[in-house]
Amino acid sequence: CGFALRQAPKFSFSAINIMGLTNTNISRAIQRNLNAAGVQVQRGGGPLPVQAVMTIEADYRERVVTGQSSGGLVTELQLRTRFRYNITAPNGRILQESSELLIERDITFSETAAIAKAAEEQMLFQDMESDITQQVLRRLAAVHI
Amino acid sequence: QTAAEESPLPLRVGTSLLEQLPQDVRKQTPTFVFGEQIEGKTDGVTVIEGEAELRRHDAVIRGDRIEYDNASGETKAQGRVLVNKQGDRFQGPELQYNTNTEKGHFQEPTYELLRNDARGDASRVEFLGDGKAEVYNGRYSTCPRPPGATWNPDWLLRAERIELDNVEEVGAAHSGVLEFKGVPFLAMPYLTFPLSDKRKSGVLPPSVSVDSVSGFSVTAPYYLNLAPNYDLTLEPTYMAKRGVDLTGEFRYLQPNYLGQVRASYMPSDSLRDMDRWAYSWQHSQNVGQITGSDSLRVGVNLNRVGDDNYWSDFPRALRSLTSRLLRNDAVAVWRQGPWVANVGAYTYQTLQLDDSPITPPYDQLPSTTLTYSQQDRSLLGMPGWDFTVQTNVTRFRRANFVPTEGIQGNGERAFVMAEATRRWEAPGWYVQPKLRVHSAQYRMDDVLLGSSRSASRTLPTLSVDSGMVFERQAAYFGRNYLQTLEPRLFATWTPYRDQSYLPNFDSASRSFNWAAMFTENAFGGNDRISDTRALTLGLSSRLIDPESGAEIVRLGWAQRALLKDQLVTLPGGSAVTERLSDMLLTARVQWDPLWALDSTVQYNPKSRESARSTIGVRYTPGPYKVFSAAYRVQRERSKQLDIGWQWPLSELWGEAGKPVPNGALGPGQWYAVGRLNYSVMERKPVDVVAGFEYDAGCWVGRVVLERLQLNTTSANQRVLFQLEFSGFSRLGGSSLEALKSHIPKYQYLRQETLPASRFEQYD
Amino acid sequence: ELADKDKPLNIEADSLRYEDAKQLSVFTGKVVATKGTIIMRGARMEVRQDPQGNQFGLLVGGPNALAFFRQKREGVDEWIEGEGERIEYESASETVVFTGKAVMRRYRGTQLNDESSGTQITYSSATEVYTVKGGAAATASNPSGRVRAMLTPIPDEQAKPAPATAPAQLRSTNTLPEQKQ
Repeated sequence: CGFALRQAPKFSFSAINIMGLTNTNISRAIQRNLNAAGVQVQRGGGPLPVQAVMTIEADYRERVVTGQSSGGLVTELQLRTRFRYNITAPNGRILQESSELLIERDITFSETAAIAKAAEEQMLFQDMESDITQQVLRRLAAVHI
Repeated sequence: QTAAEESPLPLRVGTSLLEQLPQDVRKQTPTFVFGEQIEGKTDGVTVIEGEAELRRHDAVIRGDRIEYDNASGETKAQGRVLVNKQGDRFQGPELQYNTNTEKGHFQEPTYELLRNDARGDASRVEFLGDGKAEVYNGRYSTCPRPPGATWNPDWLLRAERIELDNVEEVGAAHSGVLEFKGVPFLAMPYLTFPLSDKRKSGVLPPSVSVDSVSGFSVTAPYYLNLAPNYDLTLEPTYMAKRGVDLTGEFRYLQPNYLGQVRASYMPSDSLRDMDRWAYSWQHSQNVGQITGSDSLRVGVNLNRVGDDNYWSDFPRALRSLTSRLLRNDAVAVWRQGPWVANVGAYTYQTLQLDDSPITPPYDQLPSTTLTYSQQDRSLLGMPGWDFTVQTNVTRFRRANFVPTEGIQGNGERAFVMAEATRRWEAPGWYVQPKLRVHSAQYRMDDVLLGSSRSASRTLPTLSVDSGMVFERQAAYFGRNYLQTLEPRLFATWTPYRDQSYLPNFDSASRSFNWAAMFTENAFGGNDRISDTRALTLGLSSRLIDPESGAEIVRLGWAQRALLKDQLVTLPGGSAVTERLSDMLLTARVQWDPLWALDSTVQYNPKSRESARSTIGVRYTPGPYKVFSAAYRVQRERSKQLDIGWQWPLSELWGEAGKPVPNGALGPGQWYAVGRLNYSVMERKPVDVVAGFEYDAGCWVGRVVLERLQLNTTSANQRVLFQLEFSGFSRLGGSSLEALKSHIPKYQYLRQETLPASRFEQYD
Repeated sequence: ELADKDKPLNIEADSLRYEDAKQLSVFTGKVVATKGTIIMRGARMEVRQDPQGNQFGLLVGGPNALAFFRQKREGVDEWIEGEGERIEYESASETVVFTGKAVMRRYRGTQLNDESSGTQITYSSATEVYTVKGGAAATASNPSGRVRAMLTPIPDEQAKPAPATAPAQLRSTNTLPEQKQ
């Protein structure tokens, strides 16, 4: 049925500057994956000539109550991770418009189990972060200089 | 020939016009004059008549007649005079101004300021140099001036003296009166306001509300910009039926620490005939300099209220997400190489309510954790192993606990968890075995654990996570995609240890989702380690747009097969004998940027029922247009319908508004905006924030109905009015936070914009 | 300079024609006239002298060259230069009138300082007052028919010309300020 094992992603740039929020979990994971794929990453710019500049505009988490009981007890939470970035050529030409990845996870909640729920939230945030990292890497592979 | 002249001047492309000339060059710039006739004395006074115009780098002066002294810079202009200074324009009959010192005065001017689109008129304007000006008995507003017609703006500030400071970008009015539609509604001896988006200051939008509990109430927040890194916001609220509540929020920002304190106090609230108070303090500090490395951080998060009814009597006042469970914790975290140590006290204030009591979570006084983790180490000659050893000692206490039969009391727990894992991976597949040993030691204050007051439990866990990724080109509905097929197999094995006699401080069942299906322990926390011997098979497929690499569709299926019964349970729980777990089906579709669908269903094939399912749709066809709906079901616990919308109404009857920079969809637009959380089981709306926003161009009006369910019988219904003068009072008000957080793509009607360039208002 | 008033006026040209009736001498062809620090050049010049000895000069530029006038200012190392299709010079009141594409420049040493242009410029070297008049005729070089002048600030005596400092190195940045988490 035409399925074949996935090949290593081919990036059309051999060196890239990563600017903006370069120290968050997602941006560090992206830098690790790019290095593993043989791309030279300069965090915050650097001496090497680069073919692309990735600017991370926003990377933050949100927790929102989406379900409440009539007594003010929280029954549902929604965890969100927003990651906004754009990719330009060194001279400023836009290679990939600024786009925001908004990932949501629903989680049940109970005040009594607040401690366990806090640990579970961390697990879900990490899961969202690796999900966004994979999606951004696929989009990076689609950039043609 | 100095060296600079020999080498050819390297020219570089400038990305923008130069807003400010460097100081030394500024003194050498020439002055150009135009007119029908010029009469001048060399190095003396030049008189220009007939549509006279004087142009300098930073100022343009026009008038019927201009006298300009080239030596001193003294300039007099008469007759239809216009001055454009750095984009700010002043027009009037007569001007006296010095181009070198930038000082002077202007009779009967009207003015338009560049940054804020503000304008006004005055009897006299005094230019004081370096960006400062004083407007005497003038009017100030950001409402547009229709050409020709006399100018009567919707809102305006009338004041004896208004100081405009373009350097600090702040305006200050002395004995000013704020008028809306001709009705004066706020008189202040001294009133500051921002001249640009950058600085928030002065009067924030007042909000008026009527509700069943407090009656008519007015909040007039005021912002004091104490210093570049300190600010204080005062929010006095007068409530007709209850009295006056004063809330203050002080924020501070330093290189090594930042934080905010929010405190509210209401003397003798007649609703409950007592004083009401609440405070919250968030602080985080990098205590680097003491230990030499910037690795010691301290954080405090306190939230306390005076009485248990505070959350319902002051809806939305508390910033805590869980309105009846307030966290109060203080943590110190120290990082050094592979070591991470943190010591913290985590306590809760629980607000009890008779008809929905909460068994509060344990306080952890204190909890110390030491974690050692190493990446890419070699084991048995093989590199790439990651090791983690985490130890924790915590003293669990229930707040004001009296030992009673059947209630689990206080105690201590210490545990050590050691983990080793390695990931063999290639682009198409990965295999990750993991070995974990978890050993816990308990000691209870009074209750016997079996024979003695202490007990311990040690359990190993072995798990292997593996997956493959297949890809192919595929076409559906006439669009071609890159389709992936990603099988995943997760095996975990943990022996059985009876843990029923152990206390349970922080373990609870996980919500059923994709990540939870592929974890070793069925329970969150450290007190119950499930004897899960299971295989979890997952299969997901994605459709990816080959052009942009964006994920368009993702479908997932996962199910867990228990090889043996899971006997370990939470207190009061029952063993899991069902060998095949419920199926987890997830779908996330974004076939075009306008639509997004997200659904998770936990389906039990045998009973054909779904214990937990959520489905959410979001439609965002354009700016300021979003409609999102979500239906979340937890069988026998809650069925919640959550709807959020922001929609411009004018396109329903008139023509649709067109986006205007920093002006939403242009003036004169109505927007319906709101969020409804409806509990299907209780058949009543639990949380409603719904209303209308009217954008009049230079002001935004907002009327919002809020309904918060207090308990099973009563709810607090509130109507809130809010007035925001664009560019004059920065946005505040808590109901906006509710809209912003509950409607995923809600956009404020006034987003921050880039600073205006003086070339935008050019003469 | 003021002293020019009493200096002799000598004129060189290709040819000279004297019309006794009008007491008029007409010089044609690369005319160069000097009087003290004044230098005048043009294609044709008519000079008339009245009984009191005041001289009236009318200088006309050639087909593709404007008439030219230059004089040093009193007591300062500065020169006034002017051009126009016609230049009328009157020694009595020491005024010069440039008409037609008139331009007047003032040089401090060799550096151009002020410059004004219009359809007619009157300059009196005695009072150092100049008047620039426009005219309805909007010429190609001056579409608005308005007169223009450029005035350069007088450098303070002690301020030596600022060393050519390297311009501030601006690095184009396309990042937004750090987003507070």
